[in-house]
Amino acid sequence: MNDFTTTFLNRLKGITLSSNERLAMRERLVLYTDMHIASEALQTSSAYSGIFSFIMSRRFPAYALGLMLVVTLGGGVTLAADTSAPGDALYALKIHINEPVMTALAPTASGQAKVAAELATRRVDEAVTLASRGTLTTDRQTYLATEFAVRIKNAAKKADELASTGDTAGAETIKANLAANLAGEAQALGAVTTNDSEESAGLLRIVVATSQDIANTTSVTDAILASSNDTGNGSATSTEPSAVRTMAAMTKNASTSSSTPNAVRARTTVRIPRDLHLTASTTFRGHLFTSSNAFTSKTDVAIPHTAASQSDINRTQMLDGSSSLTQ
Amino acid sequence: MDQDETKEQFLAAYDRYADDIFRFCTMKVSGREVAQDITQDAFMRFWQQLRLGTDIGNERALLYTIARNLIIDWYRKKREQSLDMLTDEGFEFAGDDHKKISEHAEMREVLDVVRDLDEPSREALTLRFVEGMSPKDIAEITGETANAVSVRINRALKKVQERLHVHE
Repeated sequence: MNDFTTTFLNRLKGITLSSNERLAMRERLVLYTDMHIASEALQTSSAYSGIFSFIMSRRFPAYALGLMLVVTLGGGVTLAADTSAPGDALYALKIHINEPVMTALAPTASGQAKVAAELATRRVDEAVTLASRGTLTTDRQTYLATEFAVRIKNAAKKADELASTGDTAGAETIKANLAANLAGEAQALGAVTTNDSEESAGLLRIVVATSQDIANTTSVTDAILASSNDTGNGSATSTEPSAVRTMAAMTKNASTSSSTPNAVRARTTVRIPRDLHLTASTTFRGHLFTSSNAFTSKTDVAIPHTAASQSDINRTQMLDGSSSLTQ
Repeated sequence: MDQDETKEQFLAAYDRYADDIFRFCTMKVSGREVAQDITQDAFMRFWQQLRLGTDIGNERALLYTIARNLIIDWYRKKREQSLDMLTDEGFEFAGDDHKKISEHAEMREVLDVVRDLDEPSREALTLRFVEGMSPKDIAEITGETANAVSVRINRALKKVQERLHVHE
């Protein structure tokens, strides 16, 4: 091919986005990524995707989006959406509009940490709602268990960020409130969980263990791992709750970079009381959500340390990938 | 990867390939705005792949493939203008910042030439000589063999050279 033809065809390289178009599209995509966070399990419905695509399209003016939010915020739709659960018509609005707006409207580190904690608690609240309706299906439970793990991780990250700004007391308060709220949700979930509902029971154990973990300053990973071997009456068995199994299935390819030290570490067992009475008065230690201590065993819980079996190792690797706090 | 790392990878891909994908779309659909919408949709779908942890070998090829499929869908829905009608309607180059009118005229001249090619040939030719892809890369996007792509490119090239009265 001669140079003339090459040069001739290369003129088409002049077709580009303008700098304004490129920047505007980039901003819309950043918003889109914030609304569809990594490892989010929810798949949007086709009908919703169409609406959302239009909202996100270049043709949908920014002022219209603002107006839409103002109208919805001013009306009852947003409120109704906030009380919705997976499977409800307004749930997509809650997840993809309301909650990102909540985050966006919290510019300070403190505000963002509070919102992140609130969003973690919401997933459990939704499980309570679904369980009370008798519609906590396996898929929904799997989604909520995964989302809960993601949100808890994010909440811990935000709390750490707040602490790093010097507001250690504020971070501790947020963690305390999170533990209290999770305990309350766990009680509510326990109240609607029946013995034959293994799905909600699995999620319940995760929530209880996480709440206790936060309150007792051990790592969430340890707590969830321990909860997977707890049948609810405190005795360790090999029975693995379906919540953990499903989380394992969904996250089996997650990062294993940190698995080696955890695979051989001694496990702690968090006893889950039948009455689920948990307190929020426990003071948090500063290292609770720090990565350097995320996998250290508690010293204030007298639990025999045993070598982990291969299945434990696998589960540990899964949990390290999905639920460790600040990796 | 966590959200921040995934997002960083995503935006790096956007910064690197946004213009390429937009140009690819522009060559195939009938308007700048539609090309922008499809470009954005392509990156949204690319993000979905990233956030779900899909093993992405070749980011660029994946983006072109996504854009190509979106364009096919767009034509199925619209059943309207192709590039053949694009220049007849007066494709808007507006928005290209400060590009000179002469540059627009030159681009239009090239479009006049390549529009005489059938769509597969036009696609292969522009991917090869405008985007600088190898026949193998193009084959990955179009689902053909590299040999078939090479043959198509050579035939298209001859047609362009005949049109330009260029002889090797």
